[in-house]
Amino acid sequence: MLGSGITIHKIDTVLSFGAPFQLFTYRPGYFAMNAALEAAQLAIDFGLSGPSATGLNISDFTIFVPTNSAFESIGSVLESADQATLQEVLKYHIIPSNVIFSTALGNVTVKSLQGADLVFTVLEDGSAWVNGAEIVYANTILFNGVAHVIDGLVLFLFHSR
Amino acid sequence: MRPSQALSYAILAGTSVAQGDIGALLASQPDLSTLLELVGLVDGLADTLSAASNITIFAPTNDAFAAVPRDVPEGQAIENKNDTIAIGALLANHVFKGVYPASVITDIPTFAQTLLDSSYVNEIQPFSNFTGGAYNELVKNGEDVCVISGEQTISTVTEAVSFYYDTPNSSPTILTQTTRTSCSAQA
Repeated sequence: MLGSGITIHKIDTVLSFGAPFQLFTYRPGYFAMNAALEAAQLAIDFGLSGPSATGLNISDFTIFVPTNSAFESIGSVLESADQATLQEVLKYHIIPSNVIFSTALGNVTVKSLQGADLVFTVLEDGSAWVNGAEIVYANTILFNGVAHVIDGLVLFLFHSR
Repeated sequence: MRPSQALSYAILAGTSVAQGDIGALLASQPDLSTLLELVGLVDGLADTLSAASNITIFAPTNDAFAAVPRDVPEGQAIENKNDTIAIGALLANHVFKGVYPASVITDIPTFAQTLLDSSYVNEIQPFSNFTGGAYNELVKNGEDVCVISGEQTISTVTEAVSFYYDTPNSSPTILTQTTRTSCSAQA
């Protein structure tokens, strides 16, 4: 039962539902990431499963969204890549079954959908990095995950053997 | 304390607001009548909320509900009073799991989950798909308590109303804290 001391916070604006990923990329114009996901047939499904659903039907995910200019800077490389390579690259930008907000980021590694680890670094100035890309706009709450905008593609880290 | 803030006490006399009666709590606040009406449209919701423990309600004022555009899912839920799934989803997104008085909300954001789980699906759309409920961000900006939800919507807590009871059936002491600044203006 609601106990003594319960507080009701009056707010001046009704809270919004989280947008599906496609709508989120559309509004601020992160078209390049959405186009790449579509091309790789990894478009994140809007929670609709069934025989006709294509793409990635996942929830509770964390996704890193490179800006358009980040894609432009390596555009020719991606254009020449086959679909399998593109899928590998994009899957490296998604963490499945793990909703990670920036406040939970420290110097940690987390396995990506691709399988390889993503390495997070938080510097003393408060900037947060995933591999070599800086998180420039964190914590957009989506319909079924959270998106962080990054200033470059997350590149694979090569370990010397 | 800044001049824009006021702390006031009030004793609610002559009305029966028993502990655990969410309808009566809302009814004691005239600027929450739209919310009270919407709660009443969803079968069993008032009872569910009254029976709940460890929840925190963020209550849009009448003005807040009136300001929502009617061509977005949130506005359709308010306008179409027959779609109890959409209304239920909208309201569930305002009920947080956990106790969040202003004192525990800091300038380091808290991402808290609500009662809006994946069970809310009408013929148009599902409303959320997170294990354990949709997230919203609670953060303090100066002295203001702000909530950031989907679509980067920023809500400001304009008044926090706390109800304290000596005994479950006594009239509560009501503590009201108001703020008049806006999270979005400062952000």
